[in-house]
Amino acid sequence: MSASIEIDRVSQILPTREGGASWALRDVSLSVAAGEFVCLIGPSGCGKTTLLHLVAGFLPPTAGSVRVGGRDVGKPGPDRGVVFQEYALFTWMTARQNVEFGLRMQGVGRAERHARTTEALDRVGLAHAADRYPHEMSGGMRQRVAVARALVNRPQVLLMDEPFAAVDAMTRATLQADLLALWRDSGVSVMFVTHNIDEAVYLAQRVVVMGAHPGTVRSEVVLDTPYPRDRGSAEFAERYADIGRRLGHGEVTA
Amino acid sequence: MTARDDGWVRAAEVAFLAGDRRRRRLAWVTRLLLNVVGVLAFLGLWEAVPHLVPDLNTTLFPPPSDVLAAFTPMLASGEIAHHIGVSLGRAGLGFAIATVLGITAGLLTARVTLLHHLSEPLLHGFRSIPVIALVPISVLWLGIGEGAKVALVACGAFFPIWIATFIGVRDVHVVYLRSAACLGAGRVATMLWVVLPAALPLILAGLRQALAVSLIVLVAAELAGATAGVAYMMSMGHQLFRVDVMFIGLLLLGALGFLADRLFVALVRRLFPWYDSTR
Repeated sequence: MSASIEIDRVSQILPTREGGASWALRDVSLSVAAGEFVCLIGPSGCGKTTLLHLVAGFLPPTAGSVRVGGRDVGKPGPDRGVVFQEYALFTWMTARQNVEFGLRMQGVGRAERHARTTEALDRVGLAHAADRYPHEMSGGMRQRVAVARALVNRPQVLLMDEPFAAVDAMTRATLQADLLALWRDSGVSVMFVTHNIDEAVYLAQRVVVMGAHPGTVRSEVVLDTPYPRDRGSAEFAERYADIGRRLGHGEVTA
Repeated sequence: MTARDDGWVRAAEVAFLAGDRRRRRLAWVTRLLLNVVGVLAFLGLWEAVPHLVPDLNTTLFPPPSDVLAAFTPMLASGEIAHHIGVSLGRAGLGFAIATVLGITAGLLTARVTLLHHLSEPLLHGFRSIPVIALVPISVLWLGIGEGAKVALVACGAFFPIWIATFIGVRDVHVVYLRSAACLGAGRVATMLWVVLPAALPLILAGLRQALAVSLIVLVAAELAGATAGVAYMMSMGHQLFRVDVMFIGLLLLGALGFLADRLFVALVRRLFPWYDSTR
């Protein structure tokens, strides 16, 4: 499998309020294969969201290089879909208009735009809610629209920043299962930021455990359990405990 | 295990919905009724004042019946309509100019740092000047013609719109801008489809405030010298010692301000169905 995302010795220094410099990331290297599902997990301040933003192109790295599909990341673009935690849907647009926005910006013709938007909404199970505004939808529905909005552009990679953190536990479980199905259908590479171990063990093929101050990669865990995974299994509990230990270890040495 | 059948469920729903509708309608009618009662009580009290205060000069404090008696012929002759038309024309044109200039200035100063820093002290300095203070100067520069009045209204309405647009655009949430960027939107498209709608709640608040300011400046400008208009009618009433005519003017101004505001809110609801916090 060829690499889809290549992060090579990236550092990110940010100014602090007191006038000092803070290392959000120090010398981080990571690569994500085409079609791979990777979760970034770590305590707050470990730079996992910063890393995601670097791949999205929201900010340039202080040092090192970020490449997607073999090309250096410049500005944000539709080849890298992003799903934010919440409140990212345009509240002045209906679900359909939100999903259609990216296609419109790329000058896709009316008929094709309509067909692809309808298909994308259908795939997240929201064909019936196409004409609703975000304030008329539940948190779970809004995140489904956000996923459809990112995937409709057929991106190479899907970047997800704690997308299900703000929805209730039952809805979250459904959203996770549906995301796995979408991922396997579309073949997109996924980089998924979370602070929830259960989520990482349920979703990822590989979990990247990060530590804070400075933000670094502590270790990586490959999860080869076939999907769908059983949260009640002994193996799941074992994986969960393993990642928990690795996270704890990171905090002790920091 | 449920013993109830579908018919029972449906009947319960129908009964509940009918009751709910009835309660809502009752609440709505009661509110409207109380609104009307409030207005009638005010008019009744006003009408009663000359009877309660024996020595009151009704020429200086005409009761509503006198005001109505003066109003009817003026309405029939078309005089009232003419004054309202002239005033609305000035206020409307001034407000429209202010809207275009204010939103443009707000957008530019919020998005272009150079313009923001250049305009910062001027903006805050100028907006502290009550526009009414410019009336005498405008009479010297522009006379008492239409241009002077429209310019004054535009000037007064411009600042609230500018400030509101500036703040609204400056504070657009970064997640909207990032969403637009990673969906492939360019600078102009982002401005048009994302920044402006995101800032709309504040822009609308600014417009609403500007609407009220327009009326105030309009009155000041017309009082300073005019040949028609609601405030001109009042100043004529003043010179002819016709307090009833002055009262007509006051009532008209109150009604115009109220109607303009209601119209604005209704228009906003119609145009922006997603923005449901205009109450």
